[in-house]
Amino acid sequence: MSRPRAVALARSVSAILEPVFARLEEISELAAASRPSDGVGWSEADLGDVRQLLLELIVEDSLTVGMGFVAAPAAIDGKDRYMLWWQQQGDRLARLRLNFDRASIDVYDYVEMDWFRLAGPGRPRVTFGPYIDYSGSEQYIVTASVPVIVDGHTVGIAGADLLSRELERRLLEVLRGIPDEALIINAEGRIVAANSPRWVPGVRLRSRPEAGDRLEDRIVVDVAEPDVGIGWALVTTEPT
Amino acid sequence: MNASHLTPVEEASTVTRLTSLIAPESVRGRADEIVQRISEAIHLGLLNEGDRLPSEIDLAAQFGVAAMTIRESLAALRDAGLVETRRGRTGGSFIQRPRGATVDQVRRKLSAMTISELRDLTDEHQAIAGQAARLAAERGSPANVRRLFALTEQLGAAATQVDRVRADCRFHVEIAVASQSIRLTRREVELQAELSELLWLPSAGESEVAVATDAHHAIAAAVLAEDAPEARRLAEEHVTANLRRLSQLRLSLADPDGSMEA
Repeated sequence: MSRPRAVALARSVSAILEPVFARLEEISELAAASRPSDGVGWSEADLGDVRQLLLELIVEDSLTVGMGFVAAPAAIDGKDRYMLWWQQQGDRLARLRLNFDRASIDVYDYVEMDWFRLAGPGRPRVTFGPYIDYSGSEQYIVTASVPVIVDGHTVGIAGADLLSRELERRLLEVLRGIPDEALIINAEGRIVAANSPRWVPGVRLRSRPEAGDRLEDRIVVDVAEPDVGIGWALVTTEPT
Repeated sequence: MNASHLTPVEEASTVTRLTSLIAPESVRGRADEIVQRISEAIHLGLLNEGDRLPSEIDLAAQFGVAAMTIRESLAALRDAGLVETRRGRTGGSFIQRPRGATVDQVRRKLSAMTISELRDLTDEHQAIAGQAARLAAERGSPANVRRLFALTEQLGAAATQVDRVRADCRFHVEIAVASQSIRLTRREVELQAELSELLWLPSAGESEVAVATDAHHAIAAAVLAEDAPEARRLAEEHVTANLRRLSQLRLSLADPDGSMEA
């Protein structure tokens, strides 16, 4: 496969996620604008419009099972952790409430999670997963996020939980059109989707493939990165 | 779909989340089943102290039962000390921190089981925990590994029965989470709900905590080393050791009909 063709395919992959990131950027901008200019006393009362926007955007696509604004520690006045996150469950929308008590064994400390930690001025998009989100969405999901930046500082993120099975189905539509074997891997080298039965989603490759590498009995032809933030790659192979 | 057709619920998410990882058991009556699912979710940390349950009407709609059935379930949960109901405008039903099962409760549960039933339960757990550990070593992420070591430390440091149960359960669930299998995770959650209280009677001593902590540490290290066969072997061995503990405890108890004293 020629290089321009691989790049075009990577673009088709990111096109699937473009509408998600467009919504997240909209939330991020509104969240940033809701913050008092001196940053003092930023509270839930300022986030009424953000809440309204979340409720409108979450139902636009069945891919999205959760969506919200998650604050940096102490960015919201008096709150070490703060999350305004809504979930779509069938025909219901419900606000997610989690245990942020760090002394507790069941703590859900998002500050340590890659979808929160990695978003910042240098990285405008993060796509993390697929993973089993125990005690969050409790589903097999991919989380996409964008930072909320004020004066060069990250004051939080806007994020969306994407149902892995639906994302896989959409990615496969792109991969099916490729005559070669093609797989999409994430930053951990985990397979997100593949058009060949030799590779199944969730499995992690031992090392990150590069053009010319052997991948079992085949050769990697090309590795192109879709614009989803952190190290996703579209890998194509051909027989040796 | 349009947002205006949906009613956003500020507080209900905690309970709607019960539906995905805890599968219903059809053999029980509906009220018992709801009690079981809510108490499992509390013990597994899916519902936390102070969480407010949705209204009786919302709960009835979510579980697809009559409001009467919900009232029956809530009464049972109140009796068990897992839910507190407050009246008034800021009232409702709130989750209370479980005090941990009493020795008598666990003894009753355990003495209702035969040794071969305990063996059967751990046979299944060995299949699930062993396979989950193997896949965790092959597929786990650095974040999973960090959590496994943190949970191992928390089991060693746990001061109460409730904290031991949670740290132990949560470790096994995290192994399943690292395996990337939602089915194995669901099964592990169900098995932990059955097993963990039996394993952590208030009488469990420091040496039992130390043995379990060492076993968890070894499994976490095998996952970190991406040594799948070793992770599986260690997980199976750990489950076998648990069976031995449970059998010993069971043998020390009289049968519920008193036949051992006869």
